[in-house]
Amino acid sequence: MFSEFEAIVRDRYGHAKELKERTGKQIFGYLCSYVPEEIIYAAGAIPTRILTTEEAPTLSETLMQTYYCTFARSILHQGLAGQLDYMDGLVTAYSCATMRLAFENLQRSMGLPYTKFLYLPGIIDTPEAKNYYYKELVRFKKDLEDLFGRTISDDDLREAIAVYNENRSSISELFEGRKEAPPKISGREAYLLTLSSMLTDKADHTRLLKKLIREVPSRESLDVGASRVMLVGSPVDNVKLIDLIEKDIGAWVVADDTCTCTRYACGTTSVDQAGKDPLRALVERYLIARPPCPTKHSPTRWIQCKTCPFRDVACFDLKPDPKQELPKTLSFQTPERICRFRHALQLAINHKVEGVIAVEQKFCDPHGFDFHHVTQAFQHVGIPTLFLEIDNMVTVGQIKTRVQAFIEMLHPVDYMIDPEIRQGISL
Amino acid sequence: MAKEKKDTGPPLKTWKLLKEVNNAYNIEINQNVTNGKPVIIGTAMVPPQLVNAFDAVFVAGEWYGSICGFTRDVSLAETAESCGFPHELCSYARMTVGSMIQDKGFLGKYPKPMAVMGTEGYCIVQAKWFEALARYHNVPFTVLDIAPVHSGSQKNWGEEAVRDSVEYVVAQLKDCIEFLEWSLDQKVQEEKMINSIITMHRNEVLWDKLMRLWRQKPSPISIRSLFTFENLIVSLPTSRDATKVLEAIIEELEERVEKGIAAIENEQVRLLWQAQPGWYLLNVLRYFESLGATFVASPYLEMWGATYRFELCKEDTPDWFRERRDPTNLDECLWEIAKEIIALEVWPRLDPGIAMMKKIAIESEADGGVWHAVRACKGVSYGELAEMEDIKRDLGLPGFILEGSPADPRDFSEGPSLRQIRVFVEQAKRVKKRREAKRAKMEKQTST
Repeated sequence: MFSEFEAIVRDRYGHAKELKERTGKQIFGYLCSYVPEEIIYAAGAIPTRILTTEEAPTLSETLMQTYYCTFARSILHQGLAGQLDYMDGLVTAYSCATMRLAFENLQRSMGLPYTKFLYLPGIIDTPEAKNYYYKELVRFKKDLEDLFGRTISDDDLREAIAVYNENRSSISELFEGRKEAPPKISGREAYLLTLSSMLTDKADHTRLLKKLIREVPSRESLDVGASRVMLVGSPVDNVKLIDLIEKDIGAWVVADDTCTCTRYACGTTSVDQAGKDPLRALVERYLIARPPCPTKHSPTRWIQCKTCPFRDVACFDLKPDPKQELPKTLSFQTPERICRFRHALQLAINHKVEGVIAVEQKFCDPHGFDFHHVTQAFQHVGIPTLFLEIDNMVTVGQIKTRVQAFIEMLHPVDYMIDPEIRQGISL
Repeated sequence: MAKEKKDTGPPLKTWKLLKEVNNAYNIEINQNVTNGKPVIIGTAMVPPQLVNAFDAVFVAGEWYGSICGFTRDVSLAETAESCGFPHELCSYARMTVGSMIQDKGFLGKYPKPMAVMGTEGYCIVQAKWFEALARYHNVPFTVLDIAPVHSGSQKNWGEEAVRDSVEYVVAQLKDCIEFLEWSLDQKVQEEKMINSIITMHRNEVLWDKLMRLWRQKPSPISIRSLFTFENLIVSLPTSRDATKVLEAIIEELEERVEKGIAAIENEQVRLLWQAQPGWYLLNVLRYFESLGATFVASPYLEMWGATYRFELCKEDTPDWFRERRDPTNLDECLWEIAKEIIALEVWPRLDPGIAMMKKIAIESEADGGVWHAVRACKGVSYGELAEMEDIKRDLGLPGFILEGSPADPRDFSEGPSLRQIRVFVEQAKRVKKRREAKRAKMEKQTST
């Protein structure tokens, strides 16, 4: 049932080359889930994400020290090894210095006809950040128009937005099955859906998803009674880790907050807004509608913490000291989106998660700094956590015992949240 | 540490004045733990001109981390690690977080802040580290997002993109003022901000002058001394006391240059230094000196002046971006601050960084370079390997990667490093001899 998705992930280079030959379209590689793929798609090219492989990133060692994460080094290695030669362009959106260095090195070494570094604001919910990113997108669109020698009309963008929205909503529909006990689809299957979505033409992928949506209800149930686990943290693009949890140990990965799975599929672009100005609509989707990654901030997050339903149970009880109370006429803008901790907690509760594995790509600063807070947040609602450092090779032997011991101690959780507060969150 | 004979020049007369100013600042921070002006903690990228427009003391986290590193108190980092901050994270951050949790500062107590400020754009740690501090202290936190000018190999969108970046940062600076006014319960003092910027402009010019003097042959000041002077331009750039010290050291060095007095008497090879040092082991630099190697330039130290930064983005920015004017009102202040920090943010980019490194190598007549691979500092280590390779290939200068960490002594292997340093300095001497012989031969051929 999932073999077509798995084939795309397994033979990603072959698939990209075949796609290029079949469609006659250019293939643009991208490094981060914040790249607005819709604009590339509207220009007539196919965006495909560059993910890691299990190969040791040896070639990258001449350009990136080993204390940069292997996620970035593996990407650079593939570029230096000529494995990405099918690409016609390369785009990234700013996430961290590590990915920027991988991008710049690829830019220097691959000699691609077009490369673009989009400055995605580090603060994402202020009018000025949105305005700045809008201007970045206008320039990006203009670049692509010059490159392809044609105008990208608003209708082209709307069409691309519709294609992407349909893909995301189809994935989300299938992901609803992860809430059930036993889940309708496994964690492995969930990851295969999103990873393959990043690696192929979205319209083709949606057709496969629609077929799957028809087939899934009639499939045999997955094993009953296995523990329900959630993954939180750095990008996970090697399903070996999921296989370890699900096949070897026997638990289900029923939820995640990673940019290679749920976070990628969350958040549709507003069709109403796209009707007026598609680029503005994309700014809203990428900065506000999708769940944020730990590299993104609100300048005044602590204001919202004051009214957060998890305020009394989690770690982020930031009081607006020194005055304790917010003045009635506060000039700051309240953040528009919920913080990532709250998002992750809600996901965990919605999916009846019994344990959280906080995955960190070794040397990943954004997730490394968050781990302390993530642990506290989950533990305060009664969900145990395990910190797991991984690299692109996922050395199963080393981590199996730890994961197994952790999963063996899990049991259904009576979430320690005040019933009244519980009313306040959409379960 | 190796027992090589110290081979340095006469002591600096300005040292006493420098110590007085640095100590006064250290004591001020310590006193503010219990009373006095409120403390704002932030990254070294937070514009101090902004915080100094209030009656507050600004503590740059990087400076605080470096002092923690200087004390070699590993228990601070271990405390942070025991709370779940991985060892692979920036050692400045781990030291500071540990100092906060233990409530143990280098002069007594940790300076508890009233608000915390981070930045984005240069290095992600400069936001995440301070977010962690703010969470722990339960105090308001904001982030200043420093948009770039897309220099180097990015497509140059010219004036339009640069103006967008400056306007974006100016808008945020206005938000930061509101944030500080509310957090500190004070009003911004326009006059103070204007004076801060004027003083900072002056200090940056003096810092540039100091950097030029450092490159002289023989070099009149050691890199170890400059790392101590660095606090003036990192923590006290808006202070007139810093101006006095900088003026005094410049005068002293000009005299040294005139008389040909070398800081390191045994200057056989001249080297570049990239990145911050391991503050716990400044003696490693003395070891270089004992072998006859003198450091004469460093992009890391140069970036605190104005010349390096604005030179770096010269090709990608319009003239108005690089013109520095003394402001007369708040709007002009914010415009000046925005340009300054955007220019600083240009630094971690491969192409312009490499071009500047080559320029500095040529201008300072360097014979090689040492790149401190600062474990877990992705901002300062950015592109070091590509830089070293390009310098080697294009200028024929040998390079050496010294692995370490700015504040955590556990990340530095002293024995193997010293052996590698000895081998590298010998190599640099040999390469220099070969280059000189080649040059002499060419000159002889030309004359005949």
